[in-house]
Amino acid sequence: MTPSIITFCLLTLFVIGSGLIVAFTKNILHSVFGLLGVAISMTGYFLLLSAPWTALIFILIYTALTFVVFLFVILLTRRKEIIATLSISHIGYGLVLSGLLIVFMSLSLLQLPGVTEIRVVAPEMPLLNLGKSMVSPHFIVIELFSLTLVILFVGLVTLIRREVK
Amino acid sequence: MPLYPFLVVASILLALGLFVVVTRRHLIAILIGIELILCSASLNLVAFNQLLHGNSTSILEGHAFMVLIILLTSARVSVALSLCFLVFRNFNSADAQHIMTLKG
Repeated sequence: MTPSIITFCLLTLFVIGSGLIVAFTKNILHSVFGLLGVAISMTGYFLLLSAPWTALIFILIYTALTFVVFLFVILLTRRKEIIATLSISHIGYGLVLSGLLIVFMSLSLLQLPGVTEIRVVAPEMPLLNLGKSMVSPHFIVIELFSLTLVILFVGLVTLIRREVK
Repeated sequence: MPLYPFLVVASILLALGLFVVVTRRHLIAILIGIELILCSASLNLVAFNQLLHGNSTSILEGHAFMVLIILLTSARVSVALSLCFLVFRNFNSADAQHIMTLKG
């Protein structure tokens, strides 16, 4: 057992535990904390996959922003609204769909050629190469995304703004 | 460290996210389920980058797309949660089954 495998096992236990908290707890606040646990575990996975800058971006932007925004919205809702029960009639559908999905993904994974022999390789200059990959072939896509984000946020402010008379 | 365990974890996260989306009725809980699905997609992108370009240090397209997913998810969370807030203000409830105005 190498240290990376031990770390992977611990992270997997943590991510499955957090995922189960998200799936089965009644309190939305606990679900958000479960999501935070999943996101922190994802950062660990990215570090294990030799992607330190991706992990940094993930925890600085995604985790922090998502967590804070969810907490703000929960703070702004009424206390009784943060209790969300599971829909009993839909649990069967959920279990069947999730089971089918896991079976389908497992079969697809087994059909990948040589997937069990592939090892994780550490890149030498991830930041420089990440910048090159983002800018050179996908420059227009990134610009379009930025424009879309600006439009979205303007629409957001318009939606939320109260009418002041 | 072999690569395929990462793909298995991504599959488990995807199944958990789908379960949450199907079984929950609260709008914020449904959004949290979608977040789980997007976490699974991010892990898949980085893992498949290793699968396809493992020995190449110059191609990091999976990572670049993951950064795009992060940007998109951040925007989506902001917009969706503000819509939840608006729904809560207008319908006085965050239950998805109470929102039936467009049903006619």
